[in-house]
Amino acid sequence: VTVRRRASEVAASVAALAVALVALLALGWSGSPVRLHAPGAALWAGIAAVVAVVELQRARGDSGRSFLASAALCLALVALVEAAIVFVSFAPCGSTCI
Amino acid sequence: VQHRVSSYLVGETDTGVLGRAIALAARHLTVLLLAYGLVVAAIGAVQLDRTINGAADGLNSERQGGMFASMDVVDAHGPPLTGLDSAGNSSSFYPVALDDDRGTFIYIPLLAHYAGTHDLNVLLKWFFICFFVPLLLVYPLLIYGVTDSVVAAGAAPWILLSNSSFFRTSGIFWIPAWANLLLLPLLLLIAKRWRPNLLWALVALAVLGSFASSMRANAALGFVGGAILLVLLRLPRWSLRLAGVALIALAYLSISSFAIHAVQVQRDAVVGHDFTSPYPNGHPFWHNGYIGLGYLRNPYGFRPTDAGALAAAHRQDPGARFPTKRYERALRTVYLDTLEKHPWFVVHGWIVKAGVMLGLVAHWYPFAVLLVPLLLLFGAERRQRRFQFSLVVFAGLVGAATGVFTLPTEIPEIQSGWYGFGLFLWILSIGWAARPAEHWAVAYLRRRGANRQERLRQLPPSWAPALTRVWWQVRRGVVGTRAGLRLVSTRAATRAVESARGLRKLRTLSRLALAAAVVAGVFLANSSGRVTDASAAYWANEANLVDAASIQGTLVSRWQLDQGVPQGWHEFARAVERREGELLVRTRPSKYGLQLSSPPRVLEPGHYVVAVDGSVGAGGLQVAAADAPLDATVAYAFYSAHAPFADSRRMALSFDLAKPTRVSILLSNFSVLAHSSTWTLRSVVLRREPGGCQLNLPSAYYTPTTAVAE
Repeated sequence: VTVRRRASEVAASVAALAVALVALLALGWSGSPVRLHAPGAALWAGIAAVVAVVELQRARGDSGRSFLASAALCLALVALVEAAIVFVSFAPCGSTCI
Repeated sequence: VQHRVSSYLVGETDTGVLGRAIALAARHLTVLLLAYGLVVAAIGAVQLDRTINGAADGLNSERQGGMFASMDVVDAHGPPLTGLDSAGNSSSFYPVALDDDRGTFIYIPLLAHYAGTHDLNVLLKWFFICFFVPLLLVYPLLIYGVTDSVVAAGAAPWILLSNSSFFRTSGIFWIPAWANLLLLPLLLLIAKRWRPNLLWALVALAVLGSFASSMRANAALGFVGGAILLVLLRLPRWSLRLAGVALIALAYLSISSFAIHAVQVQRDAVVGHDFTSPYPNGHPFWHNGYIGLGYLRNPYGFRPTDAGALAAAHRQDPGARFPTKRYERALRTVYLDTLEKHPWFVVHGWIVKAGVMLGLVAHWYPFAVLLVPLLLLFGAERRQRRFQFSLVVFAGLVGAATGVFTLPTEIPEIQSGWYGFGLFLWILSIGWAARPAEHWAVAYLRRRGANRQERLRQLPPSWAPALTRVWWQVRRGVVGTRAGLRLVSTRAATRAVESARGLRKLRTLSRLALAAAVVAGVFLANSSGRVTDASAAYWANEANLVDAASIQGTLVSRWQLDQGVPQGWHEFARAVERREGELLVRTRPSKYGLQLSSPPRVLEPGHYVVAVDGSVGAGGLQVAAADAPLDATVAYAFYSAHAPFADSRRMALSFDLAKPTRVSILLSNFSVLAHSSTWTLRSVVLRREPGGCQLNLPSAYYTPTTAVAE
């Protein structure tokens, strides 16, 4: 979506937002229909963050697209923090626990 | 900004040492405040390190046990939130902190693992210092940013440091206070310098709040309420507002709910057992609510104890085990049923507890209670202050709700958030009050050299003229009201009411009346709250009276008190008087002060019952059995004047002895407010029951550590 962004101006930002939201909820929300482990959540959150940064570079400063990209970046960072808490909690336990 | 520009101008208009010093300080104020914060933080760190002894004292043995168990497992490279139960050759994992907020049970064992120590006092002390000292560092800058007051910025870290003694040894219960003290000024700073981009700063702070809430439930909920209000007020479109609210809410749930749940699910995958889904994600809610129902003396059998809540849940659902979700559902049903059947009892309890909570603020911060209503109702900047107050008041509501729903006991475990809110409000009110005075002082210095008339004419609004204005407004209000009343009596009433000037004066008067009513109400709540809390403490602690006929067993000793204090007894009471076959005792006012004690007597191992024939006229009585040589308490029971005394009922105490022990019977004052009590006593009887405890009394089992020499 990011590469073919001509199809829609905001599509990449919306996609990044959705991916970040999934990464956030799928790791820790007890009612989530999708389940992710911490590495998966961190990976998807990282992808969402990269797309959001690219979008932020391309969007005009005060546009709706810029707001969506900022929101996506924000959610992706929150999801990364969430995954980091899980990683750190299991750090003494080692990689087998994660 | 105006304040600082004025300060620069002092140096330009006054080239003396003072003027130049003020201008220099104003130019480098940020650096100066940061340096000042650094000095205070260094002093604070040293002082906290020296004064905090027993940082784990605030945690009960169950919490400490959970942390130690988790430390052992983490050190053995096991999963977090787990203990290891070893029996013989087999061992099995068990979950820890099932009835608590999980965050600290993750972070403290991790800290212990990397620090290489299991000394909980040391760990919790440094955990507190690491969070609290940065607060001292940034507070001068933060408070100056919020209030523009150098006085408040200078005083703030010292006020923080001196008031931290309430929670510094509370284990982990200082977290809500810390969250309020850090996040509320940041919220006000964001509100003051608002730009739409600062939404992202709010989200970041919500994540920090979520981290705090993972250690203590809803620690930063008040901040989130204020942040949501700010977003709703300041963002331009509804779509943006809703998006902003959703982002803040998600950020607030990110660690406290999502990450903690993810850690538990991962832990379950490692140990191969579901320890997560049967239990709530934090500490039990309805369990604490049920305990709160028993705060006031009531005929429905609610007692403010864990045992009472467990029994109620068992009656509602015999299969409900503490602290499962099923247990919580059972108590929720009990609570809501009570609310439906006895709504006034529940609501009355909430109102009384809210009064006690309000009174605590007057007890902690009396000057804030005087200042805040006046500053919110008067002054040129009152609207700005009201806006700031509306943003932070959510934190107060959340803090107060904790005590209203559970118990308003003055302990950090319950009061931390409320205490932190009050402390921040106290610092904020100092800034609100000091700012106009500082503004005036700076402008005064600017005008040095001009003649007095010139100076006074050009001075900006300040407290002194403002107070004079208030006085004249009040005076005009009084005169105007008198004139209005005269008008009503002489002319048509409508003309007086329609007078706009009259209304303005009335408004000033009504504001003053409102401020006075708020202040008086809070101070009244303080005095009445202490009495209410004392009454609740009697109710929480007092034992049931026992039917005299049910006390059986071999007579060991009988002391008749109707003829006076028996021979061999020691008397420490304020006054003892024989009256109509009874002994009237007026105690000394100390809280648990000993009033009468029997001569010690060696008792063989077995089960014993002490029965006191008499009643409590005012205050309370503690009957205790003490190991005389060791001065250690074997068992005790409390009775208060509220108990249903009758000739056929006795105040009773039961205990078991494992070895021969030299025992004295002690009668002590039991006065929560350290007042004198009044008792009427007839006899004290000690019996030995051969078949163990026959009464419905809790029995203490006592093993002396030294042998008795006859």
